[in-house]
Amino acid sequence: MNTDTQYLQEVADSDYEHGWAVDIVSDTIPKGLTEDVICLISEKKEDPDWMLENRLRAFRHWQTLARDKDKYPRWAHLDYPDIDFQDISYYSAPGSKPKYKSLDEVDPELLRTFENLGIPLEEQKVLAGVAVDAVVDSVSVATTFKEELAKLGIIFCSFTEAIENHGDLVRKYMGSVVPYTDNFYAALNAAVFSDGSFCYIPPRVRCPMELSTYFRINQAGTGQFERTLIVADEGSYVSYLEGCTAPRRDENQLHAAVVEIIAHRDAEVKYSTIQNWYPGDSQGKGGVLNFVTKRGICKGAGSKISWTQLETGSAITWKYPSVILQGDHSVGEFYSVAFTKGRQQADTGTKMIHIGRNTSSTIISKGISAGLSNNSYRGLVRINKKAANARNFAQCDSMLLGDRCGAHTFPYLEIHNPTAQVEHEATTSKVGEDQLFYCQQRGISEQDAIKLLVSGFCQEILAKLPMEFAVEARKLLAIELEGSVG
Amino acid sequence: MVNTANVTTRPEDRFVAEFERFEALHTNGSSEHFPLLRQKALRQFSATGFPPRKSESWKYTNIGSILRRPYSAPDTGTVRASGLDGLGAYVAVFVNGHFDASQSTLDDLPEDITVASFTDQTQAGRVRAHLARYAAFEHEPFTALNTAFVHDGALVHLPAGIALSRPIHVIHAVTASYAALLQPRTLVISEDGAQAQIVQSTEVHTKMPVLINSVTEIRVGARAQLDHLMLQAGTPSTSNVANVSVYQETESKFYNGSFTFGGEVVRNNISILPDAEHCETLMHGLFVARGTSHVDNNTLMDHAKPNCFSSEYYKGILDEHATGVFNGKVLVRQDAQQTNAYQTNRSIVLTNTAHMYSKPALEIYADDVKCSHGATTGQLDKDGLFYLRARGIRADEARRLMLISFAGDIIEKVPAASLHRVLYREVERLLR
Repeated sequence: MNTDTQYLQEVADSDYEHGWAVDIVSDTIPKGLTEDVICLISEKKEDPDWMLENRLRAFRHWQTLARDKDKYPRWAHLDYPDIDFQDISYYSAPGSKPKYKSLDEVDPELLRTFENLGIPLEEQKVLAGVAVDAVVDSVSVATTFKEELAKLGIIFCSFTEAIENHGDLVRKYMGSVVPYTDNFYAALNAAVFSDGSFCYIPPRVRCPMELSTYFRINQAGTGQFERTLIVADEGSYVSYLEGCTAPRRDENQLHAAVVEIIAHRDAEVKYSTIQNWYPGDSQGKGGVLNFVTKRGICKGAGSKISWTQLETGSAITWKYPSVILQGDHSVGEFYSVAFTKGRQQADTGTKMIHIGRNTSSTIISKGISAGLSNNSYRGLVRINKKAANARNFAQCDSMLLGDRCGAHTFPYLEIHNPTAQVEHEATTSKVGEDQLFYCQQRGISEQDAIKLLVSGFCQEILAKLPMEFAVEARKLLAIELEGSVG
Repeated sequence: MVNTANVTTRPEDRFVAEFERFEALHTNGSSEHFPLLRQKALRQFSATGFPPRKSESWKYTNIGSILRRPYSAPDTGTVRASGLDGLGAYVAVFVNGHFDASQSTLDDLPEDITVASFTDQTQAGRVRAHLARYAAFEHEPFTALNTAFVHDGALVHLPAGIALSRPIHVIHAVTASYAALLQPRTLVISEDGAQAQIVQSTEVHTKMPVLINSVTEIRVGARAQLDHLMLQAGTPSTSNVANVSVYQETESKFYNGSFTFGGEVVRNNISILPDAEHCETLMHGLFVARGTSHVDNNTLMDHAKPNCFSSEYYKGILDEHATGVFNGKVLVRQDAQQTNAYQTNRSIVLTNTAHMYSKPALEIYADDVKCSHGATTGQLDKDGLFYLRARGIRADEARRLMLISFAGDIIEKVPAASLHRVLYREVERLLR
């Protein structure tokens, strides 16, 4: 018991492995948010007129929401002080040159940042065959493998480039899944987003490699407002990875990203995330505030969108990757592992909106809480009136590693069609004492046993991650547990 | 009698005005405690107001249009309560909120058991000691509203160690020629080791709109075993907000069964707090909703102390344009180690104009616990229907049989066996 407690204590206390800041000259505009700031961001990004209009429309909408503090979204099971939106700088781009042609032009400091993370860009490129669109703060600094992808007609570039070169596509799809009116943070993002990734897979093309971006928040006092747009045309397939780590900062850093996925007829999109942002220190000071809107739409018949996530970071996580199942026979999946420790708070889950006929969705969520953290699953399953023969299965398991943490489950099932079959089940428990005893009896130390059991608890989800990501995910989970368990 | 509705007034103001009229009528006759309590509750109610449309716990139930009607607290009335056939209970009847001794059959109650009206002066001390102690009205505007109108009510007191073989049945009947606001209040105090069954039902003997806002407070003494059943069957223009607050002492057992068979908007707020170790709690519910009926079961199982067990099981059948809501929460507080809590919600949706919203929630702050919940919503099992039809049973009859057996799952678990027939009868009537 004592070693157990000690181990748990250590996990809770363990310092953030990736907590350092790199000095890169950056181009930051003053704090505050006004129409002038929106215009300035737009100018810096060299936006076309329509984009500026979009931003301003979103900003004006956001202002109506932000005017009244009572209207700030407060329904989540999260406790944090009001965010002062005028105390944040809304644009920060790594300085010197705005565009790079090759990696050689990239600030060496920046490359070192990636090396420190154990994901050197160069190596990654060669070894894993992953095209990396690295986003440090807000501007895309390197996009690799682009030419190879271009041969297949695949567009994979930064959002800025996409606006410049594929304006019609961006215009057609941007905001079609997450409109600026969707929620508070989506409106904010639509107004101030600085960059992100854009991906288009043409009909009947199977993307030969995992597409990947790495996000980092790197400028003190700057928010990061990413925007990702993935369009999979008829019969195409793509697997997209997003991984994050952020250096240690004292003040809370706001992150409000938007991810939109469109899957046309028979297309399949697999979106995997590892989120490991700075969670704040043991007193809950600092840490990233992560308010993300992720949503995909299965537009065409037979399409499929699958979300897999490993959430270990951020002080506050507010994230519900969702799927709108519009096409008949479309499939939505959500696999998640959320690990919280220290004073972290996570309120995460999914939304499955069944609209088409014969649609199905699966939700598997595993929550692990340690220390003084609170980990909530919040998921909506809605079966619309015309969604005949919809099928949903949801399973949410929580594990508690300590007697001062919380694990919560808030499922919402809204059924409007009698042919629907919707099942939800959830369990909450601590690490099985019998299992621990069994392991220890066979000479496995208590902390190794806990690691083993936690890893087994998450196995189902981690197995869904693409190969190279799964390795990193396991490593990350082990590191996270290391500090806190054993 | 009927207030003229001013469209612009806040609905709360109309209830406050009604309070003033009602208060003027009833200031005499009750003990001193009540006027103060009433005033305090009214102040609380007018400060808090009704829950806003968008609040999380009222997300799926819009009671606004119901509350905007001009209701009056009814005067004394006379009506014959129909009761429940074959229950064989000790019956206490309240008509329009006032105790009706002539219809009550309490004479053969064992001597030391009390079933009385709040106005009974011999019970004043007991009522004062317990009233509004278990149902806090600070955060519950409907409870505050009820408390503001507390005048008469049913007191059930069970002395230590007594075991009652027949149930106690409290009937609230309402009759009025105008839109009536009935606010029944029930207080059940069981001392250590007492065993009894309490059945509560409401009867609406008018076609006018009725809003029933009831509050039931129950204290279950140490090692006591109490079964509490609530039957709601209203006219299509009856709305029902039922607040039940239960406080359990050490090693006690409590069963709560809530059965809803109609009404315009029905909202049950059931909250159970086992505030000592080794308690057992069963929380069961069944509703059959037809027409445009809206039934919302909002439950809270509040585990505050270690080593308790609770099991919640709610079922619903939704036909025609009905809407069902299950909003159940199991809360395990930090010290409530070794809690075992289970929660299940199953619903059958029969038409594509019916809606079911299910929100079974677990909120857990202790690690050494076993908690699980499950929710399923679907239609009748096709294989089951086929099986019955293959044996020559007509389609509608097969459907009826399956629905009855679905409901039977909850009915059979009702501890008062004499109630099974009553409940089956209601379900069969609604499924015809």
